Amino acid sequence: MTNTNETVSLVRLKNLSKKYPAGPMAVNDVSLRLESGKIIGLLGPNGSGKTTLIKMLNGLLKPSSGTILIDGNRPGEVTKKIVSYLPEHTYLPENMKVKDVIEYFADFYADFKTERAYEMLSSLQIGQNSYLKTLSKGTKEKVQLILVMSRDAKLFILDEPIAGVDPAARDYIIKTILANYNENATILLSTHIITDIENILDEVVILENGKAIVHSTVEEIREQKGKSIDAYFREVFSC
Amino acid sequence: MLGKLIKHEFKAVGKFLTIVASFMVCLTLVGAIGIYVFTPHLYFYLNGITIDGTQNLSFFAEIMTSLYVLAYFASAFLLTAGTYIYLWIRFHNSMYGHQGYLTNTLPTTPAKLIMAKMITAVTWVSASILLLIGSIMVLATATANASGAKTNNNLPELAALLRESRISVPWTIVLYFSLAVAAIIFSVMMMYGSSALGQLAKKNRVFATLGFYFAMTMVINVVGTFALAVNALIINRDKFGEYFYIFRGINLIGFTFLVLAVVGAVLLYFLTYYVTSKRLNLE
Repeated sequence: MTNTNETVSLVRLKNLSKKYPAGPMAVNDVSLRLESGKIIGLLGPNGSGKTTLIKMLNGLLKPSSGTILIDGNRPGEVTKKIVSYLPEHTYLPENMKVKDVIEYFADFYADFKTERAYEMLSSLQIGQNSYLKTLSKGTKEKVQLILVMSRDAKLFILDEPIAGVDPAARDYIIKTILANYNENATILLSTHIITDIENILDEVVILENGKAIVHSTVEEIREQKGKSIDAYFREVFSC
Repeated sequence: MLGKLIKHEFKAVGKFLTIVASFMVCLTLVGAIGIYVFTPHLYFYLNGITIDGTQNLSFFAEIMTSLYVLAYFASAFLLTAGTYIYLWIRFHNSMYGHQGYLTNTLPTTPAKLIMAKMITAVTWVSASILLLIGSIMVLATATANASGAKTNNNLPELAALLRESRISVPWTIVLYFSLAVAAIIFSVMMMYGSSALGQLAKKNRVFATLGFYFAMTMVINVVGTFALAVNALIINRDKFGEYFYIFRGINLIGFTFLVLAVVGAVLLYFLTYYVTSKRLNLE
């Protein structure tokens, strides 16, 4: 699939659905356009379909129906060159050293900035000769974030980057994201912890039971609803 | 990209497998030296007489020999079955486990991912088998030399018999070399195919993988038995008993199994490719 003459959004989802065997619709008829140069929050309670949507964007799951276009291409070899993805859990081989993982990323991703990675490691005092199995869970997550943010990707997809970490680590993660992304790139960041990231978001997409119930700028929500994104989210999903 | 994938795959599995292979090389050298040292005593030992008139040497030799044989068999098992199992676990974890998030988001195609892992695994399995054969040959030669037994090289005689039976020697060599390579590729693709199917399960993926593996083994046994039966019928129609027909029969069986291994490996490759590209189901 190549670019068409119409205005090309960085990400375009058209009637996207995913149904797991013997399960409900995890993503249900979602149509979205995400533009370049934005920080977009993918919000929703647990089980709303955020991770399923992210996996489909990364080609880790095939949609049941609908289409995904990233920079005009379906998820595959071409899109993986421009998408930098942080999964919600650790995924690096435990028997590797930090410097080996950096070499691995530098070898496979043309946009990987080795110097940037070492600078971030140094600022966090993470030894490049440390084996990953000797690092704490939090430090491993930081190494993963460093790897992902050391790329000059067009699209960063971060799945729950601040879940399960202490407030100090959250600040560091947010600072790292803001300091290292190219302003022409887009960040799609999924979370259910909104307070800490609300101020950095340009847009939000809210999912409920697999459906995109809101796609709006943060300003519009604040003006129209007269409340913060966090307060609005709590109102929508109050039990 | 394929070259980079192969490079990193070799790097990932190389450490463990090199240790196992080095251990086997050391055991072979120790064994060969031990044979030269102990063989002169073996006659006395077997006849209940020790060289210095005490039982200590016999007992020592017995313990050492038993320990060595135990270590050798354990090492041979680790080198062959261990290599196979290690590569299987490595494939499963790096493709369909948590590490799959890294592997499957690399800017490459599932075809190249599978191919890189297959080439690495086939190389290591082949090297392990060759090392074991080499080790056995070294120990056999050492035993023969130490005991003064005469060894005969029957290969020229066999080649002459083949020529006499109007069967091409080069063709026979090519046939069995191809069969060995195809059988190794097939065995590697069997573990990949069963892992690919096993990851489709919601729970107990390891059991599902083993289940598919044993199911495949049963299918292979049935197909293999059927192929042997068909071959036997073909051979029986001829004048079975003469060298020409015996060799032709053996080569026919070899050729049949070569075809089966190639077809099986190709089918399993496409199965693994299809599941990885269309039905990936990461944990």
